Amino acid sequence: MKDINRRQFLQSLSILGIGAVASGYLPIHGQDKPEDKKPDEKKPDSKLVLAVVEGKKPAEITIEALAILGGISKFVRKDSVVVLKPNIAWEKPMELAATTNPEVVLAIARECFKAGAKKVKVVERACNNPKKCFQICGFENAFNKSGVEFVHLTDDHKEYKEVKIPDGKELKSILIAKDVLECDTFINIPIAKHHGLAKLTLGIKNLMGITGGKRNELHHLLGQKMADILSVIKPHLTIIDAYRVLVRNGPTGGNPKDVAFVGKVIASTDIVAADSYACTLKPFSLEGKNISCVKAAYDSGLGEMDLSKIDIIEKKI
Amino acid sequence: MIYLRRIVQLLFLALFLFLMLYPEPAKNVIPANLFFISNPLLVITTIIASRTLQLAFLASGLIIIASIFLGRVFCGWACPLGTTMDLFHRLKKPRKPDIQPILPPLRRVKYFVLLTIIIAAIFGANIAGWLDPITIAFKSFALSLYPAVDYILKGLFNKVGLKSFISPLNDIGILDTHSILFHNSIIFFLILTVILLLTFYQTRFWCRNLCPLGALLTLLSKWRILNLSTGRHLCTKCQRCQSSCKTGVFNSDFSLNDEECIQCFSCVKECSKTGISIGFSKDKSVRISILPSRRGLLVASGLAVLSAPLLKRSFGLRLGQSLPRLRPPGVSRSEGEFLSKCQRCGECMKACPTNGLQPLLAESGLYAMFSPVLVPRIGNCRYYCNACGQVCPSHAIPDMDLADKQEWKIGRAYFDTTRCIPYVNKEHCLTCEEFCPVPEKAIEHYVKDGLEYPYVVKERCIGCGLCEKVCPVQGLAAIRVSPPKDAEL
Ligand code: SF4
Ligand code: SF4
Repeated sequence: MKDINRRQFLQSLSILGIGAVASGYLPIHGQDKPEDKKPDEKKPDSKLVLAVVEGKKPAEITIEALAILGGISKFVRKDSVVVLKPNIAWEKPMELAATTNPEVVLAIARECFKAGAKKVKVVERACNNPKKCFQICGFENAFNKSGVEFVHLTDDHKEYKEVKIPDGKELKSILIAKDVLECDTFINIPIAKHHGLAKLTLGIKNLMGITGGKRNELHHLLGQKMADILSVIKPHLTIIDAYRVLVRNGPTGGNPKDVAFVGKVIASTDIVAADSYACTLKPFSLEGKNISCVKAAYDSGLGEMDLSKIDIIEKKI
Repeated sequence: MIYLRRIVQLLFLALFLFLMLYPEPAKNVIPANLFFISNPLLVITTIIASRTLQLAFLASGLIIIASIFLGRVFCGWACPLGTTMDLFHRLKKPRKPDIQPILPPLRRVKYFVLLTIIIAAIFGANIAGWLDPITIAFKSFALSLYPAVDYILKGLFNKVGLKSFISPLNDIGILDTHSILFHNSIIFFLILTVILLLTFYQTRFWCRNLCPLGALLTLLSKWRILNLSTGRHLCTKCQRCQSSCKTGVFNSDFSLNDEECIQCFSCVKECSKTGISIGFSKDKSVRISILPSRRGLLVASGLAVLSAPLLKRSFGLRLGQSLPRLRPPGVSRSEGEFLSKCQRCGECMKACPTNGLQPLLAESGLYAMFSPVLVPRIGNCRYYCNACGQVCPSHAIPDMDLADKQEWKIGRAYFDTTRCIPYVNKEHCLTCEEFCPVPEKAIEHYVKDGLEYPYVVKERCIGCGLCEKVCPVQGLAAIRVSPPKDAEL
């Protein structure tokens, strides 16, 4: 029952629109009583906040970005189950910027534990061998004894649950990992990098890693399909690792020359806003509307793409 | 003694299985291919056939020396196939004494098998791997039984919801998340089954009659110092020795074929008067040699001489060249050279983490049978892997540094634009480009009318086959790797 309610809730959330999200109002522990959440509860004066922190240490800037959003305890309650979704899809050492920096993920996991989370899971359906990705990308070393559970999703359909997409334009249903559907807080931690088909892969595209079934079937009209998926499974928090970014030959990379140092972490409750900002990072110099996933999500009313409407708080440490 | 032997046998079998299952061969202190580099038959034929000498083969000296002095101890105490036969034979119950036929003509077959293998090797054809007991054991265990067990266990654990139970095994690379399967590997299981079933007719039927390694060790042990002696004055003619002997050393008239003795000590234990001993003195019992006659050998050599060109010409090396396959990284560009070194042992196939290396059957000619070939649709060559070279006992696949392997061109990918989704359906895809693991992508695309059309940049393609593996087109992929022509390298 829990996930049905949750699904309904997520739907109603998307109807509530960004305003509710912007007010920092989050569906934690409220999933069982979605009827509580009325649009009039939103604080009209609050603006959508986007935190951008620059610095030399990945963990430090991550924690700072969380602090700007009001601290992780706003999103993670005591005894809750948190799912983190970094990108650990490719067997490449983290220096090559094909996968999320483990230090960023670890910093978030530690914050979640501090906030009293009962369980922190890292969920990913890798493209290469998941165990090897886990080792080569530096997660095995970094997460040794961290208490974080790693869920390496496979092709096994039992690991997923079919979710209907009532408002889907291109997709009518999608398989989504049960671990994600059943968690209390879902935090999306992509890395910003180049991608041949999507141009850039950021927060929205990163959600592909929690879907089951034949994923390459999503490639046709990728942007709209990802927006459809986003409409049913919205992360509570999106934290984009732009510490090192991959500028060319993505999403796999491999050439150190293609990696640019940016030293930033971008965090927001609005995935579209975070993605839209990440497009404008120097090495990419694009705009949200250039990226099909971001554009389609915005057009479907799933978030804010217009940076002028977002309260961007930048900080350097 | 017999208990000691059984323990040693089990230890060797355990070591064999351990090396087989050990996930990261390079990190193991014991070389994964220990049983192969120390196997005199494979070593000798590979040296002869490929005309190369390798340091690793020194390991075989141990068994050679042991056989020269102690006889076929390897067969009785260490051979994993022999141990399997012994274990299997215990199923036969009740074990009432039965005296098995000796059949000298059948026993000579193994020498002819050995002879054929050696003569073929002289002609450059390495076929020992078809009949060598270690390769038979390895292929049936690693390529046939292991995938089956893997399948059953995974199915079972997943059904019962015990996923967490297998995940620690997963972590060390056993029962890995992807399923393992080998082309027609049931053949190896059937070979093993036949060998095992034959033990019901005669214990160690294979060892007595067919095993070329056994034949070689017998020849080596002509002047051994460890001998069987029968205390004739004690003998009550109870015939227990005859029924207990695994290899039929005792004839009904109590003469001995003791060159066949595998020092298993069964007779020592069974003899009612303990008149039999195995030791360093030789008694005066009548000994009968069942080595083949000179004439038989001559005739057989003649036939064997014929068999080599037969195999190499009519059965396929020619065909093999015209139909080259995707071979593992680093192997000789000449099929003939590669096949003269490849022992058909299956080590590389077991080691390949993607399951992409598969045994050939007769697709490339009978002569190439059981040699490894990369089948990208099943598994690509992993960019961060050089496992096959690390385990290959004869360096048919060279042990390359990872960096060198990453540049080795296994072949080259070609688009089939009559199947490729953007070209045919006018839909977006680019899955191949997304996955291509080389740092400077070997697949690029151009955009026309808002649609991305991929193409291969041939200089960069290493032929790893990942694109072919992930291509979403059903059946034949729309991008396929072909073996490189020398000109393209
Ligand atoms: S190097 Fe390639 S072919 Fe060889 S074992 Fe590794 S993945 Fe398989
Ligand atoms: S084009 Fe295909 S075969 Fe060639 S390197 Fe890339 S993925 Fe491997």
